[in-house]
Amino acid sequence: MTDRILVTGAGLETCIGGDLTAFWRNLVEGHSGIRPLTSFDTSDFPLKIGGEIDLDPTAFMSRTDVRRTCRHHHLLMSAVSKACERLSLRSGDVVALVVGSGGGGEAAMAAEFGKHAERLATQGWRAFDRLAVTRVLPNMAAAFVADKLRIHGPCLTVTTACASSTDAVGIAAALLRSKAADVAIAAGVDAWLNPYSQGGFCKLQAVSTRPAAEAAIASRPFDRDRDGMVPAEGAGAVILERDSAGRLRGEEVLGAVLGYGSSCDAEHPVMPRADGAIAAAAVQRALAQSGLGSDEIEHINAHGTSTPLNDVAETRALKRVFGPRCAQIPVTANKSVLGHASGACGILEMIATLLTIRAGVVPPTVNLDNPDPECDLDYTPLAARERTIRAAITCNFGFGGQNAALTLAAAD
Amino acid sequence: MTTRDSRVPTMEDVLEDVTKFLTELLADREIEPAPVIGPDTLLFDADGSGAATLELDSLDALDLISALEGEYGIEVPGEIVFATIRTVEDIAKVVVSIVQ
Repeated sequence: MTDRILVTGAGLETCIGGDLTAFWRNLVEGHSGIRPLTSFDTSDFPLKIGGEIDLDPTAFMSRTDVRRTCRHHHLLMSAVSKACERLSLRSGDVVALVVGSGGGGEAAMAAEFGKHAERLATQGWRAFDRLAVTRVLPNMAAAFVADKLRIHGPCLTVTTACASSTDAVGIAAALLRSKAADVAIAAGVDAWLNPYSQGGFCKLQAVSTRPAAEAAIASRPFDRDRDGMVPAEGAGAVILERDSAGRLRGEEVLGAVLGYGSSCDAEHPVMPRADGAIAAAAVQRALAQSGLGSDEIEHINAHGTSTPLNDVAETRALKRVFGPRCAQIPVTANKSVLGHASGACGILEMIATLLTIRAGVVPPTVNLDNPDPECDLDYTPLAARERTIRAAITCNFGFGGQNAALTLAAAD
Repeated sequence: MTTRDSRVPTMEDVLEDVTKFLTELLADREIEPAPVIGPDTLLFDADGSGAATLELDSLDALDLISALEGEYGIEVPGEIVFATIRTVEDIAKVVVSIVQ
């Protein structure tokens, strides 16, 4: 069995709360964070709703830093800072930072375009301000956080669409096991609620077009009446340390990362492989690295995007891995209340899974009123359920056929 | 920066904007005592004259220029920024000359 990687801290910013207590409470009680969008004018958009975060970056960043960066940076800085609140380093510790983001700087670029749209038409490239590049390069949010927290170890940005921050955790764990770092911060962020980013997804017909009045019921993973994902912004971060390093000094351990798996459908830019075979491979690899058998998994945190294609393909993938027993494993889809935070969804759902294991309560998949006949697993519909869980899988599947999964376990 | 009317900004207008920007920038750094910013205040390195310097770095310079370019809809040639600008008044003169 591979060295256990322990999770010794977590922080997040989500539309259902910016602290673990509120986040967990709203997940368990099924309180959706999806509202009518206010970030931009949606009157001309088919998308009307999303998961927005009420964040004042000046509460934790200087005004200068706020001005020189963008919301992408702000969210990441908040989540990582919170995760690091109780981090205690030894002299000489090498700290790594691995950040997953589906859009990377894409949303920042979109925001820059939006800011300068009128001037771009008349001035061309000269309309961009001189610091635009420091905001839009995909690595710059991680670099900014590393600068502020004096992180001098590996500082990496991973972009694999919706699998980004799950991959970030896996890569961070690998850095620890290879001793390239003593402590690793794995994080995820996406701030993509702007007209340019969402315009693209509207063109793909990938988002829910439910009206504003139906915001709270629009994200309906595995439900017959789902009509697309509901975008949300979000950021999360976890602190990872090797169990074998014996670093524990009374810190609270949230759980353990036992395994990680990754695969690529290599088939279609946006549609998942229908039979779920390669997505299943990612889950199987996460199990293999953990040393656990599929029969030891007692919970699955699904990707569950509320899109017609993902939810069916994912169901097939899970059945491939877990066989007939799959129908007895309680599954949950956090996006039913969180919305889809793009590359940040993986880290947020990982944190949710760790909290699920610790509490022995599976959060509900809300809005699952009428299951799609092709989605016939136990998705814990509508109400939370108590269940002793020792080990769980969390999985995410993104555009480009990017698949990633983690095997998570209780702290002891 | 303040939103001005359509008139061409004067030297006083630009000095006020530059001073306000720099005051806010330096306030974030919590320097004690707070530096006094005047037209002759050096922006970057000391010049041996004993004049006060704000010790701005290259990122600060880009930030300041970017703000002024955005405020006045101008482009400040890069060679001017680091070659000729030493004081608060210098940057204001460059902006005024471009705008006018």
